[in-house]
Amino acid sequence: MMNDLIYIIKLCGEAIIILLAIEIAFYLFANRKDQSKGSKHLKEQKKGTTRIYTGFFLFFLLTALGYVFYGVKIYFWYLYSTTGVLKAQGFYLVNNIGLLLFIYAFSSISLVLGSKRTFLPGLVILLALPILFCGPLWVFNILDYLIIPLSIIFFVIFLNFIFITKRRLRRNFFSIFLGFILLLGGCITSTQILDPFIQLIDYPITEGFMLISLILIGFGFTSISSLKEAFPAAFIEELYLIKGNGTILLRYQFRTQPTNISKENPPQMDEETFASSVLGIEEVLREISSAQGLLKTVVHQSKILIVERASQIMGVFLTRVELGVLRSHLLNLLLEVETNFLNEIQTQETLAPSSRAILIAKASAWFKDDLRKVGDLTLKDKPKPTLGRLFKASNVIFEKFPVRISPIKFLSIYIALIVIQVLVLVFEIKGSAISISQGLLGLLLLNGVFLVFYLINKYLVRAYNSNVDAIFKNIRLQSEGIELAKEQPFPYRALFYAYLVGCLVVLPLTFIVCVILLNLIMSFIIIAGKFVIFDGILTAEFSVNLAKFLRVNLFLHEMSQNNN
Amino acid sequence: MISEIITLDIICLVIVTVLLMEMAGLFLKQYLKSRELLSLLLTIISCAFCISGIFYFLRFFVIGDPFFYRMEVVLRFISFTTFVFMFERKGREKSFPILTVLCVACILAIFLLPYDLAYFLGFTIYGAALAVLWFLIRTYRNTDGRVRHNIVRAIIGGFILGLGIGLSADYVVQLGGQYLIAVGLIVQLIGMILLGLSFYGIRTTDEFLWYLEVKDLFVIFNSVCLYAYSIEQDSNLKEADLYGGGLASVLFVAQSIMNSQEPPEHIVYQNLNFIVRLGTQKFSNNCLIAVLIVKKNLSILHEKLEKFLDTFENQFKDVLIHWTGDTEPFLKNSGNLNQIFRLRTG
Repeated sequence: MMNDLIYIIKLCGEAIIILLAIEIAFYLFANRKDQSKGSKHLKEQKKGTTRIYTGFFLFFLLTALGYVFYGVKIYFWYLYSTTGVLKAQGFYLVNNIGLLLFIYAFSSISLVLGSKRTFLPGLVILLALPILFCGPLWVFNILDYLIIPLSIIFFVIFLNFIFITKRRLRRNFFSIFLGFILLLGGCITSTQILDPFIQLIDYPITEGFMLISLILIGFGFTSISSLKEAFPAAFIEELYLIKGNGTILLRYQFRTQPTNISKENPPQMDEETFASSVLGIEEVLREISSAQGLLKTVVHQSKILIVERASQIMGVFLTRVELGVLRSHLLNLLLEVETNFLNEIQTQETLAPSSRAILIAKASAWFKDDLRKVGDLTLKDKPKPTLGRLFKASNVIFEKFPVRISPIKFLSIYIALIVIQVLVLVFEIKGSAISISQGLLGLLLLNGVFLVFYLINKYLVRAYNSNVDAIFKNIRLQSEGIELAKEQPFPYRALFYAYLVGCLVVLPLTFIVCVILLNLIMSFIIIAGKFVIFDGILTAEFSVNLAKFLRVNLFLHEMSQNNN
Repeated sequence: MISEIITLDIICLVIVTVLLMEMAGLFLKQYLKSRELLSLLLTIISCAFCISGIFYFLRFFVIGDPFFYRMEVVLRFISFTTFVFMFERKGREKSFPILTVLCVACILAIFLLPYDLAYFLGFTIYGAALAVLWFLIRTYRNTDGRVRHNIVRAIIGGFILGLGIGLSADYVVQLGGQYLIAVGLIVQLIGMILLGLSFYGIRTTDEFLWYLEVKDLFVIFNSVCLYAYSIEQDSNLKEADLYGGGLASVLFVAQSIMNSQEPPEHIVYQNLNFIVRLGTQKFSNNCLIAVLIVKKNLSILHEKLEKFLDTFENQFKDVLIHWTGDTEPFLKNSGNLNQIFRLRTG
């Protein structure tokens, strides 16, 4: 039974949780518009960032609201357990409203996935709202379990995202991820999923989970200045390596998203002029300021010039945002170049073609991972078609082919399946002796299977790391591959076409088979869960706890009958 | 069973304490990142208020020990003293910080004297609060734009905080009832949030001393330097044409590199910042360009440069429309414009 001290601790914990959740929500809301320099022309990225922040904002706001009701629930529980049963009705009402808000909160994360259409889960719950007030309690309990699939989807996507980040950013995102896992733990302990095992409301467990999670999340979010830090290379347009005398060692042009290549801008000035201009600016500024110094940054409305130096060479990034991470990238690159080519830099006017090729490879390797997420890296000089390159080109098509499932489609299929299975389960339970908890634990396992499915799918076709819709827009790549194929002699050409057909036909078929098989496995798990595993091990315990769990409801039912 | 009013009081106190801890953490993080003195002092202030809240809780809800009262007052006094020290140290007269020393003396007296005396001496905290207010008003006069708005917010926040402290004071609670603790704490909370956010928005005390960061000012039109003034030395720049022309060429080259029709907004050269502003009015299809060379990139200086350029444009509108290349009118008649970059006196 809850005592005074626990009651106070729990209520104070609730208050802090609400405060933190609201703070995080409004911090994210304030950051939803990316104000970083040079972001004026990055409409796509800005939209994406706004959506992500709005999704998280809604999540935390709804979580805070949910916890307002959860706090009221504790209040009712405290009074109910000490003064009488009349407030039990209120207890259930606020509990259910709170729960519904949590489910809405988890639904709002679907906004983060990239489309308003993915707000479907929220819509499903909205439709289920009348059940809250007029339906039987056990139907509502099933809604609890929607938190699990929704959060699994979110976690998978988040984990995916963490893997493409590096160093400090990865640590911060991991802190957020860990926070979300604990937050889910807190949400689960605040629902009735674990109640059959322990009377969680009598201990400040939920509050502990939630507080740690919110601290981790808050710390993580405040340490990330901009979401753009996750893919800095996507904002670089050009890289210049310049010798002290103004000779260009390397000019490397990055091409990121096709939509971002500004058509209205005239072509860049030639590389020699560029190098001497940068050096000239530096010289004049030195004269004006009468100080020995180095040019560091030139900020323009839409472009930023980041300048860094090693002892022999100067590096210049022409970028579209000003991120600290870019400067450190550039400095590291310069130091690496100096270490490897010092002799050549000192003795020769320009780099040998082989060294240039190595430098290009280094630069491309450096940013490839980042770029893969947002678009496509293409070298200016078209490589000569060879058999190896031909297969490479076909691989590009293979990688880009939409056989992989996009998060949006995955979410829709997943939610639809879960909803169908919940409904099936409900109808099955109605006519049988199986407890709701058993069936729902089966569903929990089912979600695990789905998670495995998604991961397999991810590693099979490298889903999600590249832009989902890019292939549909970027016909150029496909035609490039076909053009390359056309130039090859007959047997190779035939081989290539066969390979392409294989990619186009076999993989979708495999995918469909996989889905069917997984559904069969899932059905099996439900059946096994109901009739074999849980019946044999947990039935007795579950029955007792379920009875405990529903006792207030039964009591109320009796009361209403007596009143009648 | 705990009464509802006590539950509410405790919850409010916990929220205030947590929020202050959070603010302390935020400022500490900011300090570790920027090494700005303002952030460190704000960390100390938040911590002191936070711990003082804990002593308040102990005194009201656990045991009314006089030691708790002493600690509560001393910690609040430390907060105010930190404010006083901050302004005295950053003020123009960097002489002996007399007010800070007075505050420290009061703190020691409250801590060491017998309780009865210490209780009455505790009221000197209001003197420290008034000193803080006076400093804030003085700073308000010397600042502009966003910084000035933040100072106004800070003053309002300070008033609300004081009101909250007053409402939750022993005497008032005894008169009005225990619910005043919760009300006072909530009011304190609002005041602290307002105060904290205002200073968080300012970021650095250098914004108050912006005039120490300004070096030179140039106004360029059609690649010709119309006006060049050394604010640091308070005189017209020698070889202004040469420097102005050089600067114009830098802007032009930077513009070409960027493939743009407009000059860059900001250039960082070692420890110097070149803040560039393009005029809003066109004269013979060209705009004025103002360049301010500063040691530190402060937001207040951006705002001041914008204001200067607007005034310059309006003052020399007629001259610029029919400009033939003579820079004399600008040199003769723009002395008053420099006032924007000078500290207000009197």
